[in-house]
Amino acid sequence: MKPSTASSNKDHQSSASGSAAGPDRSADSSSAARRVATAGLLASLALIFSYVEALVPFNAGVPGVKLGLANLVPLIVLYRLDARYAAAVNLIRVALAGLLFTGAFAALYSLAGCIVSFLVMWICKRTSLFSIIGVSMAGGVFHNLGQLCVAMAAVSGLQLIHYMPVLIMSGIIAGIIVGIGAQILVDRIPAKLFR
Amino acid sequence: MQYRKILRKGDFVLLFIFVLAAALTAFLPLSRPASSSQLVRITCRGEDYGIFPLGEDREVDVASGDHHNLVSIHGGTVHMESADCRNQVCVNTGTISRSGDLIVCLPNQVVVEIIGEEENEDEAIDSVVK
Repeated sequence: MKPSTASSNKDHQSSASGSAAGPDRSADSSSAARRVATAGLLASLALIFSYVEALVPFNAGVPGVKLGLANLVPLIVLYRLDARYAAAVNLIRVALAGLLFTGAFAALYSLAGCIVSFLVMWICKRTSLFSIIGVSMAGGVFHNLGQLCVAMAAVSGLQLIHYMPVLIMSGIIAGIIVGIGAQILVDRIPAKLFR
Repeated sequence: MQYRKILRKGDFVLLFIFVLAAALTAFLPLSRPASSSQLVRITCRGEDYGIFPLGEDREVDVASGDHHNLVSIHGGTVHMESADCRNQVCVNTGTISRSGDLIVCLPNQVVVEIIGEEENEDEAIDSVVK
């Protein structure tokens, strides 16, 4: 009796450890594929936000003033996953949206804005001095400033600095709106979606 | 949703800094409208007759010998109010307001030209990116 229980116990243990090791190993072997799939899914989600924004005719009279709805996705990803996913989502989204909706040259502006704003948001988040709304606001403002810098380099006009107050204010407003949205979504989206 | 719990002190500091930056750039001397730094150069018989700021309203009587041209600078635009030349081409040119624009009165050899900084972006498009 004793040996049998011991063996059954051992069996049970080994099978348990085996079943525990199974998913682990498969997660290890498929983690690269999993990362690609996750990033691709999120990037396409961000692309749809870009599309929605391109669909809605909204012209504030000053080029560059827009809501930046597509920033919702990288922002949530930054908070729920990590910075690598957010960076990947951002870059894929900008490249595709640039080719599909705005044209390659305007994509340069977007790219500059996105890189600058993403770095700023990442740093702001790491300091943990700001809420997601503050992080989003900083991202909005620096997105516009990055674009302005490219525009100033492109037309080599320091005159464009006149746009700066407008772009800063619009960045603040758009960033706060997107940040509130991101706050709500981060609260509501079940955490297991990101596991 | 209780935003009082979510928002942190840093958010308000950041907001303050951004608004301050916007205000500062709005009131930078650099950010004054470019038209105020534009000038009107009047040349008569190949010689400078005078240079006047485009931003200040005034009438300039360009007199040389028997000839008179009355140049009017008004509201950031320039036009030839009257001239005693034969063809009145200068008067019919109408108003000019951009850098590089010209009013020429060939019979009296008077040239009115706007010089200075690039155009005011409220009125002109620097470039269009599509």
